[in-house]
Amino acid sequence: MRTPPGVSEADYGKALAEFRSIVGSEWVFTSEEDLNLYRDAYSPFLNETEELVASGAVAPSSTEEVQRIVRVANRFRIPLYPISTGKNLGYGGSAPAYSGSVVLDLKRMNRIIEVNEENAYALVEPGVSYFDLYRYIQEKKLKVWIDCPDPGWGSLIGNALDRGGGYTSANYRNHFDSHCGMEVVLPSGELLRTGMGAIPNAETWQQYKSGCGPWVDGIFSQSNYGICTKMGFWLMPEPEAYLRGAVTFQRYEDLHALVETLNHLENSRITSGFPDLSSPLLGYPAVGQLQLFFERGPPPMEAEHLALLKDAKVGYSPALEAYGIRKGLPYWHLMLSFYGPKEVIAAQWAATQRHFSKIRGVGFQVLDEVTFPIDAETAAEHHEPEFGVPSLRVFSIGARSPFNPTPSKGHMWFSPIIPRTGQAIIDANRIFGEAAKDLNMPLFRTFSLPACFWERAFIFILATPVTEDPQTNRTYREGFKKLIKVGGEQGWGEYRTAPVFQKSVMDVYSFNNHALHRFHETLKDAIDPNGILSAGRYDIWPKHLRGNHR
Amino acid sequence: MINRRRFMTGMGAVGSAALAVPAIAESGTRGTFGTGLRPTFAIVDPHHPASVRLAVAASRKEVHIRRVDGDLTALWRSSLDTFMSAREGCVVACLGKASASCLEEMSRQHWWQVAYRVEHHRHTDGSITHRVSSRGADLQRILEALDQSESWMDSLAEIGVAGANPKNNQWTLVTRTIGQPGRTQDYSEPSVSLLLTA
Repeated sequence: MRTPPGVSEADYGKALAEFRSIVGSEWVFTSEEDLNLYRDAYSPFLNETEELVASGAVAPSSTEEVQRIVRVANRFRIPLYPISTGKNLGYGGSAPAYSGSVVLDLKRMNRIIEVNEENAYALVEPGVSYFDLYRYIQEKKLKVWIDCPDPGWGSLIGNALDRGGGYTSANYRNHFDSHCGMEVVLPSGELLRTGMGAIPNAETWQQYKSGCGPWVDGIFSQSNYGICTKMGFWLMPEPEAYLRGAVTFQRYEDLHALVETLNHLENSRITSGFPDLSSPLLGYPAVGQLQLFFERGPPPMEAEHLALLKDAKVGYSPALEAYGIRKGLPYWHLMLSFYGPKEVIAAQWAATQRHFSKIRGVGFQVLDEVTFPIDAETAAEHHEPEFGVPSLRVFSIGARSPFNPTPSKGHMWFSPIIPRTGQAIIDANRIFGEAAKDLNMPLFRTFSLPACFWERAFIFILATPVTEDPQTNRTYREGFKKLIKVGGEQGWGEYRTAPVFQKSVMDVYSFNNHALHRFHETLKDAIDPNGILSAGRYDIWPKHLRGNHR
Repeated sequence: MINRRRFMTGMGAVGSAALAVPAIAESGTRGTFGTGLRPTFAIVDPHHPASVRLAVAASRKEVHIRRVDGDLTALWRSSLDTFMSAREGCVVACLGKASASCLEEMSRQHWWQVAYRVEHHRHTDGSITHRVSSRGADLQRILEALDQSESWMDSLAEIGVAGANPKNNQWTLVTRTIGQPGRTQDYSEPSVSLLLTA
């Protein structure tokens, strides 16, 4: 039996006995085969002794059980690592940030407490998956949509706390921003409700976010200050219709005007769906088409095209641009989506075309028009998450095919936030491209485009492979850390990362001699003096472990 | 509009397996539920020859067959999630590697475990390498089945539909590789045979 670091076998035995008395023996896991379920399938330490692993796991079924477990953990100084459903693959999975911690597995807390159709919100527990909530809504024939990531296999709460994103309308795509009200078990075991939930029997807990006084919800995301046991989410009323249009651009320099116009349209809510940017000329696919790209391969390219791509610098050469114009291959291709009444989205699409028409040579095309409701079969003809339908189809990206002959074992996401300008896209490609080449990293090779999950900033989401070869993984890990640093020098930082990179990422957030990090530690010491919760998560270590890790 | 359902388009080397697709029908009315160790479901993907053999064996043993075309979404939504949430029984599958990884991860949602997992890597020279991870108790019979070079698909399918050994103290997975890795890998998706237990 493994023992958590710094805990004697005797104390661990006593703590486990108490855990068993709280949740039942069936829900306390210590054997090797049970703990395998909490390994990170995409661990960048695959087949290495440094892999982060759990010493045990305990799965409560209620908030009250969570409180009792936390109190026991305090008595015996057991490090706990709460997970919702543990599907955070590419960002660490279920494995604890502090190896040897006991995973507090909240999957049994899977109650959908309320779905309010009239005011479009839900209140759920951490074990509720996107599939669970989708099924509930379908069975009850409610006219609301969820917003889910791709794949939609995880927990609403887990994904929101890790600040994940989805694909429907802008109001709902940022999963943390679209939450409303939390219930949190503090490291002391005390129970807290945020926002209007702090008023006993308030009916507005899922209707008004901030309540009165300091709004603390943010400190419970990407942190280790509490265990979220309930969370409210605003849902999207089922729209009447959907329209997807494409705007095409001929010239490299159009990227600047494209982004400026897109920003205006989004910030004015003329378009609110997920904007999907690609480059047919550079062979870079749209996010929503990524699966098809891997399944079927890129569109065939002529030898001349391939040669021009090879000679292009940061995705550009006059000859490549001329080739694109001659062949009718757009440099940039922007898909825009609209949800709402037919007459409204028709007007929004018309306004969109008017704004983009100022750019020379721009083209327009309506790609899809859908009237709701539709069944799952019809949704599957589209990128399902854009219709709030959870899917597992994205796993086809990992399949070997003639177009993807050496799929990786897993991946770690490199995902820096950059400014929302065309220049930043070009700069990022130049700076990261040069660095990645020097580091022999398989990123930013020809030209990469960011994703438009968030309205006010761009995010690159690029997969760094995890292989079965420790030496290759070591090279990629070190390269990954250097890319984080390179980005930091430009003022670009990751939005989320796996535990192995959390120190490197947080080091970049260094304004005024790491004032933010020091504040995180001050909070940690005040809220969790015994340091039992998620030690090391986002580089926030309890006092007694700080010297070892910083 | 792009039809997103043609999931497996472009995956090579399906050969004769693809011809057998129409022969695999889903079954759902025969067989015995809740026997504990025998699989309740056989999840098959007809693009993989070993999966076709599993379907044949499952049909003979009256194990319910669930067919997928790479994507597990519909199966998970319609029945597998609910079935696994009861934490009882076992499921045998033979899928493409990416789909198999997805199934393993999804089964963790309900604390299901891998009893055995065999990756079948086909090489362009015709040879096959099997990478076996199995509980100690099952390892020997799997290795023996794979040693029968001509009929390993049928032998492994028989093991799969027979189900899992009872839980014992040899649960830790042991990994062995059978066969010599070929010089060149085929570009087709490797198939994975696996048995999952509650």
